[in-house]
Amino acid sequence: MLRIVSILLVLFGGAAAGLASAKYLLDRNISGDVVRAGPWEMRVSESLARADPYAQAERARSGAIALASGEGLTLTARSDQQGEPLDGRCVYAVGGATPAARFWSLSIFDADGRPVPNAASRQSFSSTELSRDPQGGYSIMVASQAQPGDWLPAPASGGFVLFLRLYDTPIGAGASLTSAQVPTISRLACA
Amino acid sequence: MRLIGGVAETIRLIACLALVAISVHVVSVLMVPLLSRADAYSLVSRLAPELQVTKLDPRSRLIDAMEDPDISASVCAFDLAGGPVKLTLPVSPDGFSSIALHQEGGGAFFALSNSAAENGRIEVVALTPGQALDRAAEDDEDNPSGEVRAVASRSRGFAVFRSLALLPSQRDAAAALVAGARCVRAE
Repeated sequence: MLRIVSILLVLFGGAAAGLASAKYLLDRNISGDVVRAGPWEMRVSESLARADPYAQAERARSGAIALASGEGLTLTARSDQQGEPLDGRCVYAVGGATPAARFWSLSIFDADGRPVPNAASRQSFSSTELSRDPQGGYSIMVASQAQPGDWLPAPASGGFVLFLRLYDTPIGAGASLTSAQVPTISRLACA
Repeated sequence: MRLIGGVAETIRLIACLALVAISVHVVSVLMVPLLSRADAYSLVSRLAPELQVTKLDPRSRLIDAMEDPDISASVCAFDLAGGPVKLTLPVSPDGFSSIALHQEGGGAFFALSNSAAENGRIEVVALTPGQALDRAAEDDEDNPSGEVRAVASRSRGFAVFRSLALLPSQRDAAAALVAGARCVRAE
């Protein structure tokens, strides 16, 4: 009797643990292909046919169509330069270097992946519509309250995500990025 | 002695449990791409019949909720078992437009941007390895066709046509470009 209980425990307990651990890891997007540069991260194999099994499983569940490496790359930031989570109650300045690309855009979504509603209908800036200083530098203010200059409205509270999309970039999958090549996200003030 | 036997039995039980758990974990992760009906190919192929171009509504959240809001995109599903497919996107010399080919099961196998545009459009022929050999054999060596060919390792897939509006005022133009994309059987 004890042996039967042991066998059932091994079969059902093992299956439950295996399924639960698979769901846990897939929910947390743990595929090991992340390149980090400053506050930004990039998943180098998200559009490749030969992605690692976790990346393949994640995209099969999400249905998302990532940019192909011949189109561009997507960098994601959920924290500022100091590693603090991006917070709608704070004011941030995004500026500095951007990786080589024919065009790029900076867009914002709330923590649940929804566009941030705002009266200006502004959810992104492209590299061609920014105000530039005489040296070609730029500064995009990310905040829930209106800011002078280029202002990207953030949610009034809660976290948010910034996406930097590089179109027609010579940076290929597997290439390394350094923090000197990507924009800085500086927290200026918090309410 | 009985204590040692009990400990050994417990260790064996835990080892068997771990072995089953690891096996189920590995198999379930590997099976997700095969069983999922929420993958991009399944979603695109349910949107419209094969070779019919469908514009993606950014509010539908059907494809990628966090797509660049300045991107207009359309898609078409194809099955190369019926023959090679020619994909065409009218483009503007300014800005950014692209065609990306994705295979069933995930992953892009080809992409082309408007930096390679000719005559105001970018065009690519998707084909299987066998069809690529047949088409190469038909080529006239003295007068090559010049068409761009993308060889797919799986017969079913889909194309994504993207166009970036560099300014908010260009969104309608970008949407018109991707609405003008075509997916047809190649002659």
